[in-house]
Amino acid sequence: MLEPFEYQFFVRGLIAATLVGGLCGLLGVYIVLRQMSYIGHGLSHAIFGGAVVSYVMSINFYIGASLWGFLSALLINLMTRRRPTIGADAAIGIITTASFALGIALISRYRTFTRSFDAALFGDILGVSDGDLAAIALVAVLVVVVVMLSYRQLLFITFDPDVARFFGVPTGWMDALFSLALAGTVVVSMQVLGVTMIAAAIVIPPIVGRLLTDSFHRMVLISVVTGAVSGLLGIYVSWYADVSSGATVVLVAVGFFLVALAYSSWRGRTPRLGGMHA
Amino acid sequence: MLHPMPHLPGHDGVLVEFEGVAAGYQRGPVIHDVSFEIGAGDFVGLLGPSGAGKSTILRTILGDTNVYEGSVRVGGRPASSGAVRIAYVPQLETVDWNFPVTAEEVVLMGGRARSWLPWPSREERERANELMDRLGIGKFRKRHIRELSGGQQQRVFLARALAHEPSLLLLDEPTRGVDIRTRDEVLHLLDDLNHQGITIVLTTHELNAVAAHLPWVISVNETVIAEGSPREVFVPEILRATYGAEMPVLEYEGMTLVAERPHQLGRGRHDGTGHEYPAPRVEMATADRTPNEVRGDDA
Repeated sequence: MLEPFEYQFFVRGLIAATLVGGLCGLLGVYIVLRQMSYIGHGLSHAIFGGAVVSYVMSINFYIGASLWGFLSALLINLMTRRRPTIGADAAIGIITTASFALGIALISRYRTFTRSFDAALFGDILGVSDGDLAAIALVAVLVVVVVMLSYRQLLFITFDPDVARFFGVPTGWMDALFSLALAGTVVVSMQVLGVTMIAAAIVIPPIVGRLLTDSFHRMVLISVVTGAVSGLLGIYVSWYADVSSGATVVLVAVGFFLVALAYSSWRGRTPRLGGMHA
Repeated sequence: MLHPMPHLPGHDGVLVEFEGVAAGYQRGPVIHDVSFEIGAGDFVGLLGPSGAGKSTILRTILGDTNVYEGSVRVGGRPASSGAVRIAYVPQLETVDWNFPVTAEEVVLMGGRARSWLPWPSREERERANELMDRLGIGKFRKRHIRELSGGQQQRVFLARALAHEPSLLLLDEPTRGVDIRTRDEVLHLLDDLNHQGITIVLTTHELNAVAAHLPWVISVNETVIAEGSPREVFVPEILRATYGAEMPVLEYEGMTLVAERPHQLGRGRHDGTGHEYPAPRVEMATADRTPNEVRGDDA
């Protein structure tokens, strides 16, 4: 049972996946409740484009990709608020696929790339370096501090975005801050989960929380714990099952979702999922 | 009448002042040439048909619209300057009732954060509980907002607004979608709050509820048609100009009431089956109540 813990790369991967799972679970609550579930999927693709651009321009991956993701998230928020007729889902679709397409175009143009982007696409937990782990830990600390300090403002904006500003909540700044936190989270999650699995890590834990409680605070707690435990268990299981780490983390989260769904159905309380509005 | 001595606008100083205002959203103005004053301590109802610009006036007070012409001053300064502490109660239809929040969590949103911690301080929680007790929803504080009745839901959002400690309270259709008893409870509550010194402006379609509870009304249809006491404003000419329909007016126990009538006034009503329904006779409906006076121009 403890055999894999003898390997440093496994321990690094386990810590990384637990932190990333918890982080995605934390921010996912706000994303799911704002009905922007697709943003995790879209932003990870957008950041992939940013990663390629960073590489072409010889900029540090974390800085370039985070900046790219931050600008994409800001643009999505701006387009959604200023042009309500477009809608959040369409805004996410337009901006993030354009960014992803740019990344693919650059890869096909500069065929001399020596770096493989497979890890970014599918996740490579075994490739998590000490530097990657430090970046994940730094982002985790910053995001937790940001969410704690603006917890009530974020709740108000998420629940009642149109009214929050009348109560003095700086909605523009909050959106920018949240976009930055989300971009940072997605960038550090790419190495662990891969572009294709981030969406699930952001969406499933909050849904598990929503199925089990009607309280926002408890939903946050359940979502963070579900995300972190999915990360931890997922990596552990993937070691023995010898399958992709990102996919295993997501499959464990899906398992939690099914249990929560069954429990809430048994209790007779299943809130509307997806489009959460009554 | 709840106001034997109603507040008169301006008697405590002007709090909100519109002067020749044209305001609206990105596609252009919704209201035109709007001028009125609301004094500190007033209790004012904005009346008018759907799309008349009532909510736009509230949002202009909040500084949330584009002002194309004229000037809007709140507390003697431009709107959105924050000169006056304003709280806003939205239409309940806009609320996401499936959002995972309890009544207490909603009320706590409105309070001033007194600490940097994510959870409320003991003082904030006590204040929220005190407000909820005062509004009669204390025992529902741990309930999810979806599990409350329409009146209780309205009180929760009213408590959130009061937690903001406002001088000016704006309510968008607070009586919409609730039964008559709840409507009267809400208006009584607002009346009490007004007597405690909070200036209140609300929009509503409920003409007769307004007549019974509000001392001052402003009738709006893209511009101000008239303002005054319900008795002064509820006259057929003004109601016709506001709603574009004939609306007979009755006097009942000292209140001015408006009777709703079908479009084909005085000519019966068709339901498409060939059957003609006679137009209701307002005089007969009130004949057993004295002293009554029918003031409709067809009466």
